[in-house]
Amino acid sequence: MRVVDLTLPLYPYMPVGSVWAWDSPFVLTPVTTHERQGVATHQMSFHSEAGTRLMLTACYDDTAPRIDELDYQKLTNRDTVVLDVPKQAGEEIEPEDIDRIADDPDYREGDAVLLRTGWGDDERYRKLGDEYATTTPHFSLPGAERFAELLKEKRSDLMLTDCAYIGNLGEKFMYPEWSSRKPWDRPPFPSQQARIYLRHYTPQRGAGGGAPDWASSVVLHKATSPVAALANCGALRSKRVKVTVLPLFLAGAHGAPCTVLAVDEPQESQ
Amino acid sequence: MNNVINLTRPITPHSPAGTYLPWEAPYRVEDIVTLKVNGANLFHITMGSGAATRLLAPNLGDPEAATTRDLAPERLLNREATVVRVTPAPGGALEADRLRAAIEAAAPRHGDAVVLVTGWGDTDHWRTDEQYYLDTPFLPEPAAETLAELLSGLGVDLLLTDCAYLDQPRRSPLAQEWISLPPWLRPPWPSDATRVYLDHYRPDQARRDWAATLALTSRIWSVVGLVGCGALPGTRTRLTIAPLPVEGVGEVPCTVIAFPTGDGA
Repeated sequence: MRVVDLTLPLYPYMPVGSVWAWDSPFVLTPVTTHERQGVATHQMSFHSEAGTRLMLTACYDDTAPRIDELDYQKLTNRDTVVLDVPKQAGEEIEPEDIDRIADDPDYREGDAVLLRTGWGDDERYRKLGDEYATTTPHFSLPGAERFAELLKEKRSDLMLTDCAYIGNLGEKFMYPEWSSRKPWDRPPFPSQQARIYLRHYTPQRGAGGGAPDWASSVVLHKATSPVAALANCGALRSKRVKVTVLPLFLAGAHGAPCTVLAVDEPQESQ
Repeated sequence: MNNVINLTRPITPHSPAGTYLPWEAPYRVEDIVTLKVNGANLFHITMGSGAATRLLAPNLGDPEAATTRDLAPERLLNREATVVRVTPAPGGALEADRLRAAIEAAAPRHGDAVVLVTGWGDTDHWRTDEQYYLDTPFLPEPAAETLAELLSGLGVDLLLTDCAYLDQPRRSPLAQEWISLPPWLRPPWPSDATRVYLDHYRPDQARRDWAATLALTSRIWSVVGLVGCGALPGTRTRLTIAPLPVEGVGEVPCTVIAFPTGDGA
């Protein structure tokens, strides 16, 4: 059995969870250390959607199931098809890209879908830093709508991708007003600046979690459970794999960091 | 029929977890944005590296040893495991003889993980009850050393257990100085009280308070704080362990799922 870890590592100030106004960076604070006490323990602080993460409809719907209310059978050893949509920095996944993969002969009804752009390969996140998040390939709104349609048609309730973010990268408000600034001009949550910005980041001003900044994200959250920011997908050799997605078991959470493991070249009987 | 058993203790701000030991940080959340105000639900988390169900690596007590990220994915996914049921002695001790007999009777196969089940995690008293945290079944240090030697000899590299800790907090020297204080005199990390206490807490004290943990984890990867093991039928199962993918640490919270196989499944 060949197992591939598709999970982005969490390390201090890693980019996924550090660049948007509603992010809070992953920070590791020593509580005890090998040198002083002989045992190393830490306090961690991070965002509910840091790194590789399982996102749920609950992000946009208060009545939807939370992390501790999911059917974990649907998250373990899932038959998954790997579909390639190669993309470079900043490029969008368009309806034509989805049309090209829709008839892939390896895509079976009920599959989970791993949409591979190549963005998560070669530890690009370490080389690019924050730009790994702000220039990731992502879905255009028509691309997301077409993909949601395909997922529904194929009864695919789990979607994974190596895009760091699936939405529209805050293109109208959050990127120009916040994430495009130098890091020292946008100290992350729980800073006063982030709190003040978010008080003004509201639908009443035309901003917020939906259109125009994150419209694609809303579409995909409502169609499926998206898992974003996979890493190392290039290591998969097979078109069909078995994927396990297990989130940090946070009671009541609308989404959570997760670990994603794939059995590559699985036997049909497994 | 659902063939998956979740053995993970939910991480929730509504339990007292993380408030008893000075090196633990309680799980806290704060809304960053909400659906009502901002159109989406996202939140900020602080928690200890040893929260709830957790994976302990050799690096916990040895900076040169393997970290939690060094456990190969093949050893995390769909692991074959033997379930060993053992009844603690009065007071909670899992004595060496008792462990040896239970493990020999269960006869783990080479390469198995072992799930050591005491029944401690089978009720939800972890939600509110200080007894769950402080009076857990535990490994006396000689038992931990015996267990490490026994499992190594059997080709077992991973032990999972429903003990809340491997060392029992109430019996530790730490109990006299810290745990027995009223809660308002021991506010949890990152309080000034914990920082000052830990500044005076030296390796010889850690070697006493963490004796079993260090003896076991120096040789055997360990998962502590399982719940719901009573739902495991028979003596064989498959397990997947999903640790939070933090780099450079010796302990992290993890999610553990079991797929019963063989007898009783």
